[in-house]
Order: sequence, then C-alpha cells, then structure tokens
Amino acid sequence: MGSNDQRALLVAYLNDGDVRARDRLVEELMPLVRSLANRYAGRGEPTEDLVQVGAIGLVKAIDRFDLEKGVELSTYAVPTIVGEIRRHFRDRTWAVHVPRRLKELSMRLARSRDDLSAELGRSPTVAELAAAVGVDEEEAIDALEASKAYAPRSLDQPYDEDEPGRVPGLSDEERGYAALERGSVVRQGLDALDERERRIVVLRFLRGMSQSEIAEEVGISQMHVSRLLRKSLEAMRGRLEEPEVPV
Amino acid sequence: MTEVVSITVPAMPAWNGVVELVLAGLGARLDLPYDRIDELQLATTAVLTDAHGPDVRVDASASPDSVDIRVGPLASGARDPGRRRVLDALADAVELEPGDDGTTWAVLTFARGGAR
Amino acid sequence: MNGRVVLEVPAKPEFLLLARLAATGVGRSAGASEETIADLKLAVTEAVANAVRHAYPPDSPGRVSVELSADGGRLEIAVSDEGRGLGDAELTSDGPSEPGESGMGLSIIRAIADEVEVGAGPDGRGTRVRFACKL
Repeated sequence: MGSNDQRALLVAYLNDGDVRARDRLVEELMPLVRSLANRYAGRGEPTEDLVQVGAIGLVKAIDRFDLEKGVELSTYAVPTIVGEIRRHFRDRTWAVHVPRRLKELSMRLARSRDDLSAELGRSPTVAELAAAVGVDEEEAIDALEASKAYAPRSLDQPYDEDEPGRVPGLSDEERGYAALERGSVVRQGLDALDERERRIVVLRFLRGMSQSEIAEEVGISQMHVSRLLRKSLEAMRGRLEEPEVPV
Repeated sequence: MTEVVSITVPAMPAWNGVVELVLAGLGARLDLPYDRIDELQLATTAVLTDAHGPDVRVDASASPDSVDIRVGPLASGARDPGRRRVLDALADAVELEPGDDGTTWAVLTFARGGAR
Repeated sequence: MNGRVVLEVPAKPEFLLLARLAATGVGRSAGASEETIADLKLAVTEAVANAVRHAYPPDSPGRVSVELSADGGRLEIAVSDEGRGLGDAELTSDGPSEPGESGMGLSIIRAIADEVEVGAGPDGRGTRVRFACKL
C-alpha cells in the first residue's frame, strides 16, 4: 500500500469516521508493531502480549494522527507503540520482578551448571547453560554475573551456600602443601585460608583440576567452587602483599 | 585479521563489573567453558588494579588456539609478587610489554580447549 | 557512580551483544532503574545496528565505538563509526515512506531517549549518534 493510499484511509477514518478504514490501516502496519515488539522480546513477557499491547499503541497513534502535518503514519506511530510496550513492562515487570527473576534464574543456572558438567565432563559453555535453562545468552550472562562477588547488585546467597561438602583428610595434595617451606611466599598465602579454601586452591593450582572436577571431588556446586576460589585468591593476595615477616 | 574488542574504564574496582560482563560476552561467543571464562575474568581484573592512569584499557582478541588479553597502561616498577603468582596460576602465559611514556602493558594468554 | 566507559568493536552483528552488555554494566554501576537499563540497551542496539548495517562496505568492515558516560543524574551515550556518513534523508526522523531499518532505528531512539543528535563523527568522517537517558 503506498503512502497516498494510507493517507486516503486516514482521511476516511479521521474525517468521515469510517472504522473499516482504520482496521485496514492497523492490518497494514501490524508488521511494524511486530517488529517493535520483537525488540523487547525475551525479557519475561510473552511476545504475543507485547504485540497486542503494541497494537493498542498503533490504534492510539491513528486516532491522534494530525492530517495537517506531513509525516508518515509509520514514523509517527513508533513512539506511541514503543510507549505502550514500555508501559506494559513498567506495570508488570521492571520495578518488582526483574531482581527476583534474575535471582531465580541465577539459581537455576547454578543447578544446570553442575548437571551439565556431570553430563559433559567439563564446565558448560554459556550457550549450553542458556539452552538448558531456556533463556537467551544475554540473559544467562546477566544472571551469571549478577551472582558474583564483584557485581554492584548483590543477591542473596545461592542455593548451596550452606553445603558443608566433604572436609578431606590428609591426601597427597595436602602433604604437598605441608611440604612447602614454612617461609615460602605461597605457603604464607595459603595460611590465610581456611581448610576448605586451601584444599580448593591446592586442587586447582597444584593438582591442576578444573573447577568442575573440583566441584565433583569436594561435593559442592561449581558456583560455590568459583566463589571460594575468588575469595581465596583475594585473601592470598592480601596476605602476600603484606611485608615479609622474618621467620 | 584478528578482531580486537577494546574496553576502557575508569581504573576503580567499581567498574570491574563492566569489564567482566564484556569478557563474559566474548567468552560466550568463543564457546569457552564457563569456568575458563570465570578465570579469564579473575586474571584480568587482578591486573586492572595495577593501572597507571585514571583510565585503563583491556584489548581482547582470539585466535583458534588462545584468547589474548592486553591490559594497560599499568604502573611500572616493582611487580607485586603475590599478584604475579596469582596471574601465573590463572593464565597460561603472562608477559609484560613496554608502552608509551614508560608505562607497561600486561599480556595474558589463555589457551582454548579446556582447563589446564 | 560517575565515569566514562568506551567500548570499541568490529562493526559486525555478532558484537552487538557486547555493546548491550557494556550498557547493562554501566547502567548498573550508575544505579539506573531496570526500566532505564532496558531503554538504554534498546537505544544502544539500534544505534550500533545502524553502524553495522550502513557504515562500511561489506568487504571492508570497520569498527564502531560506544561511549557511555554516567554524569550526575543521567547517562550520555555516543555511538560512532568511521565509515560513510548518513545521507540527509536518514537524518530526519521522518525518513522514507516505507521505514527502512535505520529510519525506524532512529525513530526508536528518539522515542525513548532525550537530546538525540545525529551528525558526522569527531573528525568529520563517519557518523555519530548521541543521546541521553535519565537515570
């Protein structure tokens, strides 16, 4: 439909009250509505709801259209359609639900991470995690990052924080640790850690195990291994930066 | 041609999260296992604290065998042995290169294809 | 939390994700509401997508830069490329009668952000799209 035809329909509706003309216009511009709705897709609201809401915006734009101004309906309608979609989110999702959704997603991802590691024999990729949980990669990354120590937003602890895990007896790697010279820098760093943190650091860096392997070995989640590793490295670095105390 | 992703942030810990998010996106595109992404982030943010100026830049590029992260400009002078040990543990290679004006840049290399 | 972040990536579709993640990170660091972050991500997506689509010839891709500054109660964003500039037709929000993707892209940015300016890049070449979002 050309620009002139659209104009004729607008005149028919706005001047003469021809509702069928309006229906025709809506039908003609639904692809625009769909296109805009798709840009907001995958945020926890079904796309079809967004399309319906967007269509309301389109109808409003048609009703408000000023025949005097020489602007195209499609361009004119964009802000109104987008406005309706944003209002929909504001009313339903953003203020309250996003932080909760992110936290729930974070927990589901933590579980998937361990399930997939067992299945794959390695830590899963973001694509694999996202597919397992049914979200897009961007959302998965957002949730994975939000649960880390560095994130500006801090979430409550993930599901496994109270898991005790196995506290091991002296094994080869423990003996390896004990054999480090008392005065050695690395030993000083390890001294800053508690038993479980020490074990994880030793498994990771002396035994060269991956995080997923350690998770299985110690009996805690990968997310927990990651958190303990981060915390340990911070503590070690802090200890190692202190001036050396003569032994 | 190697494609480089560069991100420049203020050299303050509060901005580490932005770098980590971008590195996560890069790691996702490269299909790295998530624990590798985690350690890549850890090593990079460890270097960020050594920044020389008010801002610091991270240049990330990938080849079929490795992910290379270049961070700078960093303060020259005595390298902190603790931090260096942590980096050596996390990355497959750590090199320091001279930059302009007497500054230093760190180049961290992470082999692709699973944890060491 | 005031500060300025600059992301530079190849002007290719697979790097759009990184621009969105950088916007998310800056938005969170600046304490923006989720709604503002969503608007910010959409506006950045549209601006970067325009550069990916139009800035460079298919056989010689270039780079696009996204600057995000948190300053007081607002975020200022500038998306720049060094390719061919926009023609006059695409600079006005009216655009062509069948809205092309970049015409619609700019309409969207104008619908959700403030102080939208489109012009040549910093050294007279390419294109720079600037806009601001209130926190």
